[in-house]
Amino acid sequence: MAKYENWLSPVAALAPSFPQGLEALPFCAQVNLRGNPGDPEFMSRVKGELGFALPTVPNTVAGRKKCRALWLGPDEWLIVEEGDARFRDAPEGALAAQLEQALEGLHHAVTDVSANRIRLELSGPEVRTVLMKSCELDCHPAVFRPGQVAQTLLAKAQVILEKPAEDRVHLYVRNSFALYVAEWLVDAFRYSGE
Amino acid sequence: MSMLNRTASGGSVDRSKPLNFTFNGQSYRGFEGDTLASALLANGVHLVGRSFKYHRPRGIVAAGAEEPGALVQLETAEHTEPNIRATQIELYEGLVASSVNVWPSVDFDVSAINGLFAKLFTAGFYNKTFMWPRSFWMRLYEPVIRRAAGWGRAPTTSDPDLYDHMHDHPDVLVIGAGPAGLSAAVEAGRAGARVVLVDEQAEPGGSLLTLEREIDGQPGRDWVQDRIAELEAMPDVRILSRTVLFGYYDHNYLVAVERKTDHLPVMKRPGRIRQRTWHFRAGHVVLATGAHERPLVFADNDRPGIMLAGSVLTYLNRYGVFPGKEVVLFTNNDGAYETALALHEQRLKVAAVVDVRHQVTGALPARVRALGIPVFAGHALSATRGGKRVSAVEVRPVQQGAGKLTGAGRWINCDLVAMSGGWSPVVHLFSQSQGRLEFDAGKSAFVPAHAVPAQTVAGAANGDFLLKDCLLAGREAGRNGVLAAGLKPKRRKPAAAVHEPETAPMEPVWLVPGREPVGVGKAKHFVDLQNDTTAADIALATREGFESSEHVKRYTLTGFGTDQGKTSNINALGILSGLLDRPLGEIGTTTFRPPYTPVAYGALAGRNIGRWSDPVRTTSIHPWHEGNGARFETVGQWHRPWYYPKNGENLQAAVNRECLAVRNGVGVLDASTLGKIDIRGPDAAEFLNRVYTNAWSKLGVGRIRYGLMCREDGMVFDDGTTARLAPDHFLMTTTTGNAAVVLDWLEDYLQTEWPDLRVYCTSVTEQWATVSVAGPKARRVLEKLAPEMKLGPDDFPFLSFQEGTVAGMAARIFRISFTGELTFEINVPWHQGLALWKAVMDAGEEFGITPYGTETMHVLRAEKGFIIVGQETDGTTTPQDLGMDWIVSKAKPDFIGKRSFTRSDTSRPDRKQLVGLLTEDPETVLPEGAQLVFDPHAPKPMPMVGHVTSSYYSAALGRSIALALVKGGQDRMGQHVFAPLEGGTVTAVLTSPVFFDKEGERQDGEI
Repeated sequence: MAKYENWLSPVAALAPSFPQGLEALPFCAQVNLRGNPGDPEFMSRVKGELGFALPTVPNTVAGRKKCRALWLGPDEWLIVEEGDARFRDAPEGALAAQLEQALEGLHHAVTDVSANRIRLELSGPEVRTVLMKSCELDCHPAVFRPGQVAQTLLAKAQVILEKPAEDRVHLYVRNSFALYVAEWLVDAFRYSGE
Repeated sequence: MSMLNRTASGGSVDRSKPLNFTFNGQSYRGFEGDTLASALLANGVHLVGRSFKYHRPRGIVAAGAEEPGALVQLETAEHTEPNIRATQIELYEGLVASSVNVWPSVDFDVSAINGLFAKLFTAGFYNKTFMWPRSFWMRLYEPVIRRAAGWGRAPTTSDPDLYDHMHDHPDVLVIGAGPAGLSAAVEAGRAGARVVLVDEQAEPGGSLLTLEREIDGQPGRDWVQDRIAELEAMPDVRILSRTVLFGYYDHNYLVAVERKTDHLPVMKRPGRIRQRTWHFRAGHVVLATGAHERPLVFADNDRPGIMLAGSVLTYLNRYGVFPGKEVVLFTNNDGAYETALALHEQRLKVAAVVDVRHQVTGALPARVRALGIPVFAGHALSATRGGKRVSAVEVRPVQQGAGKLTGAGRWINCDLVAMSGGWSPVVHLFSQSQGRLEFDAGKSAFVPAHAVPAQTVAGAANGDFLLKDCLLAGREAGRNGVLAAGLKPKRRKPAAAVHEPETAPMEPVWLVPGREPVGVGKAKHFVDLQNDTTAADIALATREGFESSEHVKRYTLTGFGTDQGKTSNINALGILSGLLDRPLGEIGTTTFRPPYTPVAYGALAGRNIGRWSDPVRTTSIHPWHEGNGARFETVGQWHRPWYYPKNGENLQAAVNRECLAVRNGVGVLDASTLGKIDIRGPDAAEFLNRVYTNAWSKLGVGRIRYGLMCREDGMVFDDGTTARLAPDHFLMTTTTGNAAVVLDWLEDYLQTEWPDLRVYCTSVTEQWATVSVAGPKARRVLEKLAPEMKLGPDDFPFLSFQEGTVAGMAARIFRISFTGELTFEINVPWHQGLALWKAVMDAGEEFGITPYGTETMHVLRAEKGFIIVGQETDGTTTPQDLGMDWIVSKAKPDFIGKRSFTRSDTSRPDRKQLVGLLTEDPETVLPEGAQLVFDPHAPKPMPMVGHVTSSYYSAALGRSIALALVKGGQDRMGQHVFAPLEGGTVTAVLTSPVFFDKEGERQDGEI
């Protein structure tokens, strides 16, 4: 069966009418990883599997463009693999399975959360204004910089904000809130120029 | 009508852009740049309203936010807004406004008769007059008095305008764009700080828009323009005009509202944000909020045409409007002389300057005298005349300190009185930030007594009234902000050379004597023009024992209006100080609270209205529910299908049909909303032992158990099933509404109480969509979708789980039951939920599969006596109260809540316990929440012994059923309780809460 067959995003119906600067990103592998960063064995096995070290500086992202680890807490990360880079032909869950195998015998928790959140991308000149309208966090370019991640509220929904580059922000939104967030953002874009 | 009172030139109005407007049905013209107040004055309109209690004619007093009286109803129909200060309304083409508190018109007001009964309406008249008899309150006093003594009318239709919110985090937030604020903003901006400059007016400049001053040889207005241009060129500086900073909260969280379209004609506003609320978290705050001029309290000081001297100067210099042609100035300081000079320059008649000071020696008075204008030193205004406009004033010599009149009076004709009682720093925001004020006798004003962290008060707000001091203080305030941001301030430039007149000291006067003692005769000394509070009211309050400023404020309503007493508070305190013979510093001020000026509800709500007032959470199957006519129920933030009416069925008919389908065939429920928590680690079983009341160590892999969680107090907190996926791996389910709370609770215990336990919790609520197939034919449906799975009761027994492929999708299937029927809960990744649901519907079609909603789910579980946390429990219910002792382990050494079960309160026999109720009449369905009694003939108030928690009509049983919590209920089986209801008393018998299939024979379905 093809990957993500029968998968339907909660914003699928709305996405065609998104304004410039708002986009729904495709499904990808997402794994919630918990483990002890003070345990060198844990850190090195994860590094061996991912090819880069997990970030330990709060609210930062490590990795490469295709595969990244988002710091969510002192012992919690979200591993995101764009387009399932290494597991293109494997079934869903391959990233989780690989990590699980790599960490066998160590206290850890690998949880496949690929279907837990959808992702939206904000880009272009209105990003800052839209975030100022929607989010209490300081998203000034000097404060929220590329390579940083934050967990906050967008309007009244919990989201993860990841800033991969200047003028670009990825939002990770839990599915049940996705339509609320997307509609809110469409509205925020509409009145951002004011 | 032409603008009779407009100067030939000058001011910042654009004379090439005339605007038409309507006030009280009359058409007028003004210019772009006018306020409604300046345009009315330009047209000679002083009478704009009637006073609150006495309905006396009232006019425009001030030129800004401090205006106490000139409140108008702006616009009509859905755009109408009541009680807006005419001094803050920017004029636009087509503006429509009218007076408030007048009937039938401002010129002829029937309620002015109230003035004849003035003695009735003294301070505290509400408290005294209307306390008794109580029944009169609702019938007579409230409606009649409210109608007579009211302000504007709230709109009756919903607000059509758009509002939104913004969040910003400046290093330096400067409030006020006068000389101090501009200096601070420029200083901070030059050093590279993130600056936001907020100013309530349309135009920056503050006092420099009114006073003719030179800074470094440059006219004040030009200096302002240069500063604004410099700030606008800086990338990280935001200038917000027309923005009122109204609230100052902890940790430099401040809130402002920006008026974005209120200055535009109404027809040009649609589709645009009308007002924007700004939330600031500022590194450093500079309060450069300036000062408000004080009125003088003298006899009949409320007639239209009696204005503040500084405001008169503002109308003249900023708007090119002269509010009168024959002017008497009344002052206790040198400032009013500047107004006199400006009026004279416009060739207006300055009839006299009346100064309570006996020694008038300053440079400004000297210039006034040199022009031949009579200056009455050591004199006061002792009376005024005039109906809808002041026409004459009486001038009399007064004792030093204005204690007593000392000689005969003379009347001077005039059409304008410009008064000045000195200046009060605008300390509202400082006070809101928990700043303490002290009375500075030298300045005769309350000023900030100390520095508030991460804040600087600069300029007139700090009691520094000279321009050169404002500029310096602003600069230093800006530097404080720069340093706080960790930046390096630029080198100080030499202080600006400022040309401003020297001033002699003022002499505080809080109450100017009249011809008769205060409170005697008809003359009134008004303190608060908005609430019609007089000096006599304050005297009455002290005679009746009110001495604290907070008590006097409440008893007399001083400062209780929409202006929060910006012009009245200080005079009230001064009068109180005189009455009590205590220094003003000891009297102290009342507290200033947000908002600084009134804020529209729409601005507070922003875009969080309608569909966005709260997030609506939906499952992946929601589109199907919508497409198939489901009615929805709100559960927390979720919208869940409530029932699926067919062919015009009502709720009961649909639920009966859905219930019977599940009991006799097969039904399907979207259970995706249940909380799901993945629990992993070598100590996971031990962890569950501690958070649940029952034991978990021996649960086999692949098996499921029901669990109950209590709080430390032993009260039920949540329930759900947990499956053991692997020896160190569990999947817990929680109630829909509690999912996030339970996860926080688990994390809290892991991080603070049991850090030694090696357990990780991860929320997977929205990773999995859950389709629950229930009913005797459920296995038949699943067999079609998962042909390779063995689904019989031996291979797949109750309370176990399996992984398999369902309709081609990898799934986790749980055999649990909330209905008593054979149930398979099929879980697939969330985004496949809709595909799975459709496959289940297709496969079930031949068995008549019926989608059912939360209402049917509730009936089915109630038939089985299964509780719902939050419905059968309310935070005071123990497992034992629910008859669930069986789930409370006696063997485990500890679990959360265990200790509380030995408290005397949790073991007393008369606790409210869960029972079933069967009404005597099987068709009667008790209302949920109905109170129960044992003796329906007991005298009222009857002793209440419990209440109905759940109540339904059960189609399967063909009668009503109910669950209830009843005192000692478990020992009263077979006895009666009574529900005394409005329509009669319902009798019911106590029974077991399990009504259906007591032996549990149905859970394996059709074999």
